[in-house]
This record gives sequence, structure tokens and C-alpha cells, in this order.
Amino acid sequence: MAMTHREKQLIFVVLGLVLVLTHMWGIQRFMQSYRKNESQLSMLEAKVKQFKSSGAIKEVIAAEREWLSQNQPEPIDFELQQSQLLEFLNSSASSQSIVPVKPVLRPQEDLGGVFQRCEIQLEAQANEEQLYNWMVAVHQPSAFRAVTSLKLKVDPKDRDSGVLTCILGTEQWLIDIE
Amino acid sequence: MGSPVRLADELLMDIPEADQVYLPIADMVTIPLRLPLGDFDEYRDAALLELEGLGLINSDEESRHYDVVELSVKEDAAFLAVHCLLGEGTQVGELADGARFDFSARHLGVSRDEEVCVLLREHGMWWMVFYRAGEPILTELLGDQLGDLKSCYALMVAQLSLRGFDFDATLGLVYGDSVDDLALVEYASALGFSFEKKAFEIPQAPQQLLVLEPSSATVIKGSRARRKRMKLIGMAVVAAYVFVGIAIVATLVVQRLSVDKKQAELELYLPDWQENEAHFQLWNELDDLVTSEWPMALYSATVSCLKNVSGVQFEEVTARPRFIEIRGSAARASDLNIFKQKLRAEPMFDEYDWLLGQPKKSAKTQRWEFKFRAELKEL
Repeated sequence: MAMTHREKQLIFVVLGLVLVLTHMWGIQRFMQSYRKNESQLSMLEAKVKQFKSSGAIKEVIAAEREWLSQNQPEPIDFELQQSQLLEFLNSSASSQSIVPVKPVLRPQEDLGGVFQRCEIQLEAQANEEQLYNWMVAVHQPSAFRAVTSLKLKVDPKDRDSGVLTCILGTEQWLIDIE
Repeated sequence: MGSPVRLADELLMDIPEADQVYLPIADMVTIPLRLPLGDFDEYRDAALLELEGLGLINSDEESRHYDVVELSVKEDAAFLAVHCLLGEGTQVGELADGARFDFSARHLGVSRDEEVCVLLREHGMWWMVFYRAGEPILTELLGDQLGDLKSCYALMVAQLSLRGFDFDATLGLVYGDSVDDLALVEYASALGFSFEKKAFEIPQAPQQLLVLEPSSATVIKGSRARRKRMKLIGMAVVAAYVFVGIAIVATLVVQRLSVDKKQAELELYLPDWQENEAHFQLWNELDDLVTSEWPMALYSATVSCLKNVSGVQFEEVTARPRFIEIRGSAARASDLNIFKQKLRAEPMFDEYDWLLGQPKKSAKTQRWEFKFRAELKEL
């Protein structure tokens, strides 16, 4: 049976719609693939650049490795290390005639890496030179020990005495024996 | 005129494309026209008016349905022959749509020097055709038999006379096998001029063909042009699709190749990188240990900035690796400005952002209290 003009028009409209939708779908698919490839490419380019730059600092890395191999501490129990650090801080302070008080020992915390950090905070009163000498004695990266926080306060009423109140945060990096 | 010349007849459908097609007398009307001297466009306009007046053509019809031939010019008048297609004109086949069309009666090779009356049998019917200057100027259907020629001739001559043509035939020509010599003598005696019997020969093309085109040819040409246009559009669309398709595939292939190339390049550096990455992770853990910007170093750098600056006193200093905050006071605001400049110029703080808050004057101490903070810029 022959189709009427209206039926033909309807078929043309439907075919037109199908054609438009197919094109939209095709364009969308192409854009998705294009964007995916572009992002993959830019990611790879960034990585290549990064990898190349790591090659360029080869000497620095070698020096760092060398330093590590020479200074890396032997594994030790965390609590033992903590008590050793406290002992060292007290002894090094007393050699500068400083009497540290209010020790705060941070409990062990898993940092997820190779090293653990054992931190002790102390308060002391001394003049600037004493404190400076004490901190220099404490801050020894080759011994995997460092001053990581410092608060110095002066009493405005007693400024002329030169006495400072110092809250010193010290950390020891260690490899836990466990 | 390289292409073959054919009379239009029942075999019209077989006429090869681009031929000259000579339309039969039955499909044409020819009228003589005498006009004041003018240019050819004026003659055409006048001819159109005449044809409209006779009801042979509508002004909105195809202008190729008629054409005008100038026969002669005498004193202030031009003598013309107007040839017009009858109705829609001859139905032509698809193959004839590229053909040039003309009037068969113009191709008998009639002498230009005489006024001639031609008796012609075409498609089974007899026609009387009047010629001046070798061009047909009037046609009349006689029927399937040659009957009373004398009265017909007289009627036609009178008609020509009414149109300003003084026609006086000096020669008669008969085209048709069925007429014998005796009949020729009879016609000569009746009409007063001699008759010659002629055989159809290969039609002779006139100097200039008419510009005529039957509606069916126009329709076929239009339809063919439309088909050609549609074909071109279709080909253009297909070409565009092919082009876009190639462009898309090429783009994706080039991208893929670039990705593969980068991947291969990456593979070269990968072993070194993996080794280094493990080291970087380890070294990051030691960052606060190995940094040269430890709290005491930062404090010392700020203290060094107090050199040659009088009246500035620190009250509290807080420092961590790559961070320092100073609270203090100054006797004069100008002292603080010098101190700020020195802090900014200090090499230790090249990579630091300083937050230098506005100092406030204490009502109690009459000193300018300040709080400055420095932090390593984020990479």
C-alpha cells in the first residue's frame, strides 16, 4: 500500500532525528576519545619531564644516598630511644648550666614510613648565649636529631636581666626495632 | 552543424541527444507581421502582443515558445515571420532534452529570391506553406487530400494582404510522392504559376536557427539539472563525510602514536625513576631533619636584621622549620619600617612570604606593637 504524504513526512522527520542523534552520539564519542588521549598524553609528558629532571639531579641524589649510608642509625626500641634523648637533652642542658623543666614526651605514632619520630618538648630559662649553645649541641642532623620547634619569650618587666624563657621541641629520627 | 539533422516525427523518441530537432508544421503556428522599423527586442515584444491577442501564448509562458525572423525591410516597415509553438509544444523524449529545436518548414531549402507556395505532405496531412525570402510566413492545413487549392490560396493571399504582405507567388513546389505530373499542370492552371515536384532531401539548416523550446524539453532539462544538482550535493556530502572521517581517524591515530611514543620514552627513564622515587620518599621523611632552615637559623636571621636598628625589641618568637613568627614592639614606627625592609632583603627569606601586620601603638607603653610572620612559599 502506497504511503500518504503525511506518512512520508513523518518518516523523513524520524529519519532526520535518528541522523541528528547518531551524529551527536558520534561527536560525543569522538570528543571523549580525544579528551582521554589528550589527558593521557599530557600526563605522560609531565611524567617524562619529571623523570628527566630526576636524572638531572643524579649527583645530588648520590650525595644524599651517601650521607644516608654513613649516618643512618641502627634500629632501636622507641622507648629506649626516647629515654636516651631525654637523658641527652638534660645532660647537654646542664653542660650550659640550664635546668630544663616540664618535659613533654609525645607518644609513638606510626607515620607509615621507614623512620619514626620521637619528640620531647622542654622548657628552660637561660640567657640567649646559653640557649644558643644548647640548641647547637642538640641540633645534629648527622645524629638524626634536630630542633624542630622553638618558642622564646622575654619578660617585659625583667628585660634587662637578659633571661629568656624557651620552650624547645626536639626530635630524634629512628628506625623502630619492631 | 556537425550533428545529424532530423525531422521531428513519430521517431522523435529515438533522436540522439544534442541533435537538431525540426518540429512538424502541425506543432507550430506561423504568422506574418509588418511592423514599423525598430530593434529586434521591440519586434519580439510586438510579436508577443500579437500572439497574446490571438490567444496563442500567455505573457507568463516560457519566452522560448516563440521566435521572430526578420524577412526584409522596406522603406519604414519591417517584414517579420513569427513562429510559435502550439500549446505546450511537441512532447520530446528524455534523450532529446539537449537538442536545439527549429521548424521543419524552414529546412526545405526554398529559394530566397522568389515568393513561393509550397504544398507539403507531413505526417499524412497536406499543408500549404507560403515563403518569402526563403522563410515560411504562413501555413494552412489542407487535409489528407489536396482539394480545392484555388480558393484556399486566394483566402491565404487575402489574409497576407490584410497583414500588409502583398504576396504574389511565382513558383510552386510540391513535396510528396502521391502527386503525379498531371496534377501539377492542373495546380499551375488554377493558381497561375508553375509547380515543380520536389523530393525530400536531407534538410538544409538555415543560417540562423530559431530559439524555441517545448515545455516538455524545459521540464526535462529542469529535472535533469535538479538531478545533477542533487547528485552534486550528494557527492559533496559524501566527500565531506569521507574528509571528516579521515580527519577524525587521522587525529585519533596521531594521538595514539604520540601516546605510544611518550610511553616508550617513559619506559627508558622508568628504572632510574623508580629507584629515585624510593629515595625521594625516604628523604622526604627526613625533611625537617636535614633542612638548613631550622628554627634557630630562622631566629638568627631575624636577629641579624636588628643590626643598626634601634628601639625594636622582641617579646616572643615562635619558630618551626620554614616558619617563624615574631611579636615585639618598637619605640618609633620608622624603626619598624627599617626592620621590615631588612627582613625582606634578608637572603634567608628569599623564598618566604611575609605577613607584616600593621603595628598598633600601645596606650600603656606608648610603643608600637607588632606581629610579623614568615612562611615558605608554596611551590
